[in-house]
Amino acid sequence: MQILLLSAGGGGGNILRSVKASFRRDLAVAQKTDSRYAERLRRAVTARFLDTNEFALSDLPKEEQVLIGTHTTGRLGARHDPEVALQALNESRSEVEALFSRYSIIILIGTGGKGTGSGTMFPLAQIARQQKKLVIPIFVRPSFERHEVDKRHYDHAVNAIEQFDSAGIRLIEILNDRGYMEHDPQPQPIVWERMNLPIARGLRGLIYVLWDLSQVDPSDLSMLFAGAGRLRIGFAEIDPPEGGEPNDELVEHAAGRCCDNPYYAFHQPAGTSLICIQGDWSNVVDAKIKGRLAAAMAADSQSPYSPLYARAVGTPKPWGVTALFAEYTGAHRPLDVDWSLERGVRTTADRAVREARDAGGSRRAVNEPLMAAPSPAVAAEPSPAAVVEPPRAYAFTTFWEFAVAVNRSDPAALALAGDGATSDLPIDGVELRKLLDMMWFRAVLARLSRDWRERVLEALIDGTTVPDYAVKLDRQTMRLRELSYEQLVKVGSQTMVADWIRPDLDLLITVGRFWGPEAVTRFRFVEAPERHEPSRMETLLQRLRG
Amino acid sequence: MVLDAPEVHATVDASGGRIDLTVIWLGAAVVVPWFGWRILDDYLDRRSRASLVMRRFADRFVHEFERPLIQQDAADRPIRVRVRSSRFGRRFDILLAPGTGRRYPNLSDHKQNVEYDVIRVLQRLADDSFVNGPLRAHAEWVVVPFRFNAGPKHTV
Repeated sequence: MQILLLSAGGGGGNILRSVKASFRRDLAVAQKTDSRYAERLRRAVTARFLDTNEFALSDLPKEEQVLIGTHTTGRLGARHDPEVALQALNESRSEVEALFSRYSIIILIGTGGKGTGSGTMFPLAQIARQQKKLVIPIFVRPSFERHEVDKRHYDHAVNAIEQFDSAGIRLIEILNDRGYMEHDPQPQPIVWERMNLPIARGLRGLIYVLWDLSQVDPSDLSMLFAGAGRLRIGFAEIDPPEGGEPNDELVEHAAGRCCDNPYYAFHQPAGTSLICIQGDWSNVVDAKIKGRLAAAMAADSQSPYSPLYARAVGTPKPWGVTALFAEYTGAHRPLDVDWSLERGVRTTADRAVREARDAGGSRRAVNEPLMAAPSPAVAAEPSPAAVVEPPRAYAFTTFWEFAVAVNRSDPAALALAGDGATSDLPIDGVELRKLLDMMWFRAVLARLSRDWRERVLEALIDGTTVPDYAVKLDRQTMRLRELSYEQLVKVGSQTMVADWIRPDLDLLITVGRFWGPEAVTRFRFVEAPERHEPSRMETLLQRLRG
Repeated sequence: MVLDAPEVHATVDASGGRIDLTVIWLGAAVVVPWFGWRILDDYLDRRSRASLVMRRFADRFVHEFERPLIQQDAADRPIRVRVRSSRFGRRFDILLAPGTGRRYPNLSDHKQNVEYDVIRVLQRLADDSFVNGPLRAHAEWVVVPFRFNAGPKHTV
């Protein structure tokens, strides 16, 4: 997964610097324990700082600078005017579009301070949406009551927020007003640290999940980010004693902190949300964390709270729980997110890996420095070699492990996926059936060679017998073995099917979709056990009860 | 020779006939109050309409003034509002004060912001029937004075 962290303007740049520093510290820790993992993670995330003021970017490496509108602004900034910032963005629009086109997920960070943040945050999010990217805007509403900005600039910020709402783009809105506490006054650097650290830590957890989509179904992400409303990100550290499990008190405290960030605008109850757990502890602790979080979000049977759980494996400390809550603002059509770029990148890597292997493994991979791919404004597109890792020995003990690695674009797994049908990696039919139920595995299937796919199908057919259930089709009762692929699809989509038939029916449809209609006929059908076939009304009632 | 004096309680109508003065008095007794009532009613009606227009304007003013200040998850309104009008004239004041836990509007440290905001709101409302005067403070309130100039669109 290619993730772009892009700040807009000076305020956003300050937050991104903080996020970047935190991420860099994590990488340094990961480097000591698993250098390959750290390297892959490092290359998955790119930071860029967009601004209209050259001076504001002067402390950054050249490749991280995205200076826009040099003719419009004379490199001197937007003159505190969002309109000028917008003109600057329009001037450099093609460069920004080129930058976005190389990433699947774009995290925008900006503040409504003076000009550039207010003027460009929404148009940047629009560009990302137009390219069907998954965009997560983080926007800071400044405090004019505390004289951070004047009312005019505050209104510009409000206008930008209203634009997000009108366009149905969810955003994380941070209220700087909440940083001024009369009962607990603190110096500004401490308040900024309090505000920025949860963002940096939260993003860190989110990046681990998004980077490895085997943990999350992409279609769930499309649901999570659909519709207008606010997002809230939280991180709470859980630091168990060495070799021990976190106790209930630690879990309770973490769940409370995760849901408790006072700086976010978040009015509605939480709907679809993403919970990412990081830490080497048991699933019992995971379950406690999930339960405490639901309690902290006041979830009950009527609540729209619908969490997606993910586990970030191999993350360096600090461990804990990261939560991305989305306000429930009604049912929305899922976002149309284009993940094809991920496949494109992987194809490039795959080809290059094979080339490297053909050359006897002598081809040296070109690694980018930390978060330092060339900026589109100053450099040409990266060469395919820039996304290549050297192949390494295959080290997969199960097919599941191999599939996860392919999904992560592990070069060794990709190389094996290309021509490894003769490998002795065992394929377990039961495990394979479980994999077929997972959305991410379908993307993996598409990346396996023809031989591999045939081998997977054979393993599936060998390990599976399908009960020959009777189903209704056009008022006729037919057996599953008698149905063509098209008829199976019709039964699956247009008729009510008993719950015990559904898994086998779905399996046949999935096989037909990925291996062709002929593949369905290769299954072994056995006589279905006698069961009482419920009436339509009974089926309906059963569904309602379920 | 004694001439017959004309009768004082009679007059001559257009056709030369005589009309009883009592009728005229009675007519006047009906018509004059009727006209008076019409004038009074018209005045009250105009005043009522003007009051309605002023109240609507005040509502729109307040709505637009507080719109950017609303934070979704805040339970209280961001500002407190009062409207007061003169008894007979077309002058009225909109009084604004910070809501619970808020600091804006006030003229002690946000004078420029309030002045900008009032101009912004008036530009947004684009209603030149209302002319505002200089802002002033009254205790915790910011007083925004207005004068209503009824234009053709406000006449009955």
